[in-house]
Amino acid sequence: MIELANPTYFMALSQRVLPWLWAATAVVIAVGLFMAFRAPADYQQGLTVLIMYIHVPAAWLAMMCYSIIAISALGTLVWRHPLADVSAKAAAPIGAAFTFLALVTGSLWGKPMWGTWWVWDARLTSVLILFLMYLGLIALWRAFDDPARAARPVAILALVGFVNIPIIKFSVDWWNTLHQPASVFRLDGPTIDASMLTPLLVMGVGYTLLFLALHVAAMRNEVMRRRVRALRVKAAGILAPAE
Amino acid sequence: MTHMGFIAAAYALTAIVLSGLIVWVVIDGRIQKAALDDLDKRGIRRRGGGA
Repeated sequence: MIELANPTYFMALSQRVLPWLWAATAVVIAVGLFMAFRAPADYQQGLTVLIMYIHVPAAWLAMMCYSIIAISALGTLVWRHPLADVSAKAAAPIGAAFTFLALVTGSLWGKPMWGTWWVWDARLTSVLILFLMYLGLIALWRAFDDPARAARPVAILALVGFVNIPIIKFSVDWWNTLHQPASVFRLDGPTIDASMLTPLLVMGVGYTLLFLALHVAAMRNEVMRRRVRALRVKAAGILAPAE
Repeated sequence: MTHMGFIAAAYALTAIVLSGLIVWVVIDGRIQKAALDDLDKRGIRRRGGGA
């Protein structure tokens, strides 16, 4: 595990793993979409339930991605590991994209089902705050020229923002919301029929694989970006005239 | 009750955003690799020698 946390070893291992990850993503999402379009229409929502197969996994990934950023932030603050900050920085734009998709596909599902594009209820508002948190993290990283100096303040902000994740999860239980309560991850088991639950879970696995592939690829890019920066600083130091 | 327009819009937007993410990581990777190769050609490389 310690060896895996070495950037050079990570680059070598990820180069070998990444093609398999992309291939597995393509296969699982293709199977998930095939199953989703073959699943029966909902007795109330009709075919509109098809939006569930892309909206719900996007919402899961929006929260999972932020949780990974929070764990990485701990790695930055407690162990000061360089790959932890790389992981958090690489995950932020991906998490923002999944959160954006959860918000917009939810809105496109809400309009025909609820009769409105948006309500300021606890679930929708807390997910919007999550999206703004992602943008805030990205903006804070961009405010520093040196990524090493950005790592600690960003990690602190990321950990403070993590309080929003349980609020998102339990918002539908704690408050009256237009958004429906949890129907998959419940203590008494899922309330969705297996004919719809199975494609939803396959799509969830497909989205998770897609996130892993994107995250590993973005981490590789960030490691290379930092190497380029370090080498340019080194070259500037060599070429600069002696005082 | 099909609401095909809403379904098509949701799937199209998802395809565009996820494809955009894939294109972004691929292009960014090529840019960083090219920058490292350029530095290597100029003799500026890490102590280990690898990019």
